[in-house]
Amino acid sequence: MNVYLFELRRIWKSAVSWSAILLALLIVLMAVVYPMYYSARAEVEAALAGFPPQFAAAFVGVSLDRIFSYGGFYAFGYLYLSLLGAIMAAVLGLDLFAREKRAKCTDFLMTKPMRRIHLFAAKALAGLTALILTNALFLLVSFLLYRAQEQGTLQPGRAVLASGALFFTQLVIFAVSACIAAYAKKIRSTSGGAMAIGFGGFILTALHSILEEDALRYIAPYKYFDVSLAFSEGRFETPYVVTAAAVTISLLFLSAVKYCTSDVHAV
Amino acid sequence: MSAVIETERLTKYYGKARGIIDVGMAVNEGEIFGFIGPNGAGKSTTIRTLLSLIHKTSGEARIFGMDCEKDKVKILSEVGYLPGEVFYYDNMRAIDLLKYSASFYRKDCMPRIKELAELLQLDLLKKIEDMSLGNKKKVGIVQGLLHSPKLIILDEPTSGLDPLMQRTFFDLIRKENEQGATVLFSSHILSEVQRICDRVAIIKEGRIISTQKIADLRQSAYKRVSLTLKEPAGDFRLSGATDITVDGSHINFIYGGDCNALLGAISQLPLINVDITEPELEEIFLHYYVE
Repeated sequence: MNVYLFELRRIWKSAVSWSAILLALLIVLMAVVYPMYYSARAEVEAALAGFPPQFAAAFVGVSLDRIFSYGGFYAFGYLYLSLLGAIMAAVLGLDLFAREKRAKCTDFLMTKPMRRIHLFAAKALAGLTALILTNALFLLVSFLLYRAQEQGTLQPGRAVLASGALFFTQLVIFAVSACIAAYAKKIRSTSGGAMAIGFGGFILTALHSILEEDALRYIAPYKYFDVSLAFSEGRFETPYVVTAAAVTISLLFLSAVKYCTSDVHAV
Repeated sequence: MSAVIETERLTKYYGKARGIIDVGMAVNEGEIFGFIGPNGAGKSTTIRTLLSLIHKTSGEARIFGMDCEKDKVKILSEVGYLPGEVFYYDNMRAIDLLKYSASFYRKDCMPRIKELAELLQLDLLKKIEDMSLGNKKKVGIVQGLLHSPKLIILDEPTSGLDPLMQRTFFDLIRKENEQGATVLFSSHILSEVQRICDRVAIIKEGRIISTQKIADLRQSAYKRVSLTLKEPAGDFRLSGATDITVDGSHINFIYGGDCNALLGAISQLPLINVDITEPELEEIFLHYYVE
């Protein structure tokens, strides 16, 4: 418990700052930009009415309702929310699991009467607590925005599920960063490392979007949870959910093994 | 007298590189046991294996009769450790670090923290990163002793401490020892070990080459002698002198034997200057153990 509380105290400032950034982006996107975007619907409809029917169909795709829906716009904004959320999770993971390595004080912690697995668990739990609190707030604000902005029928369950995508993505990235912290010999900068992880995930996700190769989606962490599908059908796709869970659990397991069994050399 | 630390054929390899080989030693309850050897000899590797910071390749290591790896938690609750170089978390005051350290032990450590801080003249409210090397070391000392451990492991503990503080530190360790703590004191400075220890193990290239009482080590103490004469020195010979080099009017040698015989012999020479110093450990190994 002492390690858990110590770690929470060390990460709370960073967690609060990142939560504020995430919420600010969410509010700007869904409370400021979306209403402006939605108000342009009539003009787009009028413009499309002047197009030949075939052209209009190709331009719009399936339906204007979907494009101008709250869920459709949220899905567009989610890419940026997930990028910020991923950087936050990476900051927490690197900060928690590489803290002693960076401060060269691993000896201090590892000569305390506590099993390494308990130290690892306390750190993981502190990170998880920060992510849960952030996402509880995110979920609440997101839900309130949904209720205020949704023009069609309210489907609260779907909105909650879609908002949960951020939490699940953050768990994946948290596990990735914990693993990097455990295996890297040196972590010079938490923020630099976190940016690299966040943008690394963004590039993998963009790669899938550009090449449209289905197999690439398994390594595109921000596409494991399709928020658009969550809004339209109230579900995520099982193969990608399973992949996300497998990646998270295996990386946390590997991190724990390394953390518990590695030699701590003198600095 | 029961052994607090026991190792049998304790071996550690880092890949193919030698750490320690077949280290066997027994530190008895209530003694101050010195552990000396040159840098890279294996002192820290032995200590880090005892503390379960690194995992042994083979052999046995027990503290308080318990296995160092399997019973690590029980053992570490009664062990205080002070490394040669101390590093702590960024942006923390000494008191916060010490409170965090104390939170791992099931006892109220605050009175002891205050007592030690007062003795060492340590400002507990200062941020550790703003402290001098010596003051950081003091934080390390308080951190290692705040839970009144039964076994104190010191790995090159005096680096960074000024001579006055070294004296305070040695007094403190002696006091802890008088109150029942066993001490393992690792150093590459022979005089430090001679000053405080009851027995000493000497480690070289990963192997313990001798374990003896400090009193015996003193008897066989070696000195490096440098003489400057008024005139060029001729052939120089003296019973007990080895590694003799004559360079013009300068004579250097390692002397092991009766000091009176040495003084008697050199007083016959036309001297300008005499230096009698403690030889480096390497020199002792070279001239005493190898030969």
